[in-house]
Amino acid sequence: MKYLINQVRSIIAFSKREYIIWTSYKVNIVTWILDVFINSTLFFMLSLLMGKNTNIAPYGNNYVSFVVLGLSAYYISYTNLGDPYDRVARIYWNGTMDLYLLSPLSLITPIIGIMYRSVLDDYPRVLLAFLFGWLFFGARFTFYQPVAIVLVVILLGISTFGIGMISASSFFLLNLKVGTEPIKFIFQDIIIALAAGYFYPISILPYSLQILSLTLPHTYALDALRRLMVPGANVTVPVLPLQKVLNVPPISLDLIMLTVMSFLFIYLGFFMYIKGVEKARRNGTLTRWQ
Amino acid sequence: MDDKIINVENISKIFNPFPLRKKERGPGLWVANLVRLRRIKENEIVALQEVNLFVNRGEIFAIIGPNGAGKTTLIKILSGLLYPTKGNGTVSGLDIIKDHEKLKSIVSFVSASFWMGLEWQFTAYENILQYAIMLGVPQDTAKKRIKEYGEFFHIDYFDKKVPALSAGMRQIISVIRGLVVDRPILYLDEPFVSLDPEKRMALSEVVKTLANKGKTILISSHEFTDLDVFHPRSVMLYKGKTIGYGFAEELLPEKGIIPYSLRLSEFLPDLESALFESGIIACKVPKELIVLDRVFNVRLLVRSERVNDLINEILKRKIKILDIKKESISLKDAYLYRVNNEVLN
Repeated sequence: MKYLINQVRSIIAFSKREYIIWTSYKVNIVTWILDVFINSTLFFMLSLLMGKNTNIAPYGNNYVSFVVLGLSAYYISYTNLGDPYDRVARIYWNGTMDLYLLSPLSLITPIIGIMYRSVLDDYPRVLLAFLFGWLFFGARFTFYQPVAIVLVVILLGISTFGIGMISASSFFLLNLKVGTEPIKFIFQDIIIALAAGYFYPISILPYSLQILSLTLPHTYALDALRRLMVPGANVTVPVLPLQKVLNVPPISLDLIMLTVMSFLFIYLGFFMYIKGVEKARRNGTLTRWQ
Repeated sequence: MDDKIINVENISKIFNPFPLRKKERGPGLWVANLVRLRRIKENEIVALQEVNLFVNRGEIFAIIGPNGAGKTTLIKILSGLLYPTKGNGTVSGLDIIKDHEKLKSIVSFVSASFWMGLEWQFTAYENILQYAIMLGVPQDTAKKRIKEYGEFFHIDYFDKKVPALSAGMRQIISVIRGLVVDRPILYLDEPFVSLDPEKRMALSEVVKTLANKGKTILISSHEFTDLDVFHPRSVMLYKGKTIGYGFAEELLPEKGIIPYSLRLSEFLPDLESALFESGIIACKVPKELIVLDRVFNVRLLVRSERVNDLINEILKRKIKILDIKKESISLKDAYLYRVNNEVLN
């Protein structure tokens, strides 16, 4: 218990530090607001253009709402998947890896603590995406099952963080300290970009890509969120190949798959990261200065 | 005091750096890293070779040696940041490989390079406090200790941000950061680097006080004058090998060598060569050559039976001996003798 309290205290201390660092660059806040506004507007304009000809059934009839949810999943996933590697790299290159490893913190605590910057930077984008969509582009949402919605968001966060930790493990496991990180590149820049269905239903994809999309937590999270939150969405008609094969209500199946993926990816992520650190201890590549 | 708290048995460490081709990146690098295609034996760096030592509880123990001797590698192994390639050891009964996670709660580590880890957006005070909290020190206790050490080291720049601090100021902040944690074992890796004489003396004072309180201190340094204050047992490393172990006088393998401090009116290189070649002095290069008001202060390692020859050789050259004083063997004497011989061999 004392150990857990110490980890939480440390995460809070890290968070305060990240807040001070983030706000010490005043221009950050201005560019951040501009960036969110311009990005969101671009996506919405694009969605308005495509929306007229896109059949999103059974996910209701409001394409902007459909895209807002896609955009939100993109923001959450982008942070959770991309941040751990960047944070490990920052700790390493800053020369603080030695200090953290000599502290009684778990290996993961500093990474989570430093990710607080993303809580400030990236997660509010989700709220702004909802706000802009609602105010300017006619997005509407339903919140009939808030518990299920929250559960899906949490599971999406956990599973993508798990993939992020797998990505972070390559820093030590593959000794990749500079250049492109392969796991993030393969997942985020190839598979997810193609098959996650941020801006279109995956039913319009070629069948091979639909099968590929089954390996992504995004697929199940977006299916569940759109069924739960887009007005007029159908909660019983199967869309995903797995839903068509298994006789389980779609949202229940989404939750089951998200739970399985959360456990799997978190376990793999932590396991691989710890193995990476062990390897670095043997090879002498754990800290910047030997 | 015979209570071994650190035990090192035949520890070796071999680094095998991965040879990178210029500008290499992308899938080629991923595959090469994964299967380590280019692991080349010739690239191996032997950082430590079968090092053995023990440190008693409450002892100040020194690790000395020239650059690249393996001092930092040894401390990193003993703190669990590195695994040895061969051999093993224990710290406070904990296996340094199997129990490395537990070492964290008994060891505090201060390194000359740790100032790199100071957060540049923070003040000196915030840096120390943040680290103490991270290491589980209650905030009130941490604040109290920071105040105490601040007063002791006369720190009047706690409120300054890191970029405004000089190298020495950053170093002392890193040192205080390690001291505030207050663990039973303290590793100090080159702690005197960049410190002014006043801070060096203050740090030596702290080290002695901590040892008197029963803390075990492992200290690596090139600053022999600072180390000699503790008259510590030491391990002397050279290219990863142990070339000496024990107190300063035990580090000299040759018996009957006595350091003499001389004040001479002149000291020429040919005198030095003549003294060494005729076996009067044991170390070729007199490292401590200070000229003050046209007076040469020289410290020579003289073979005890040849003291008269030394005086004759000097007088023969019409050099005046203004003063001659017998000294006790210091770590620096032992270091110069051993490293000199290693280099000559």
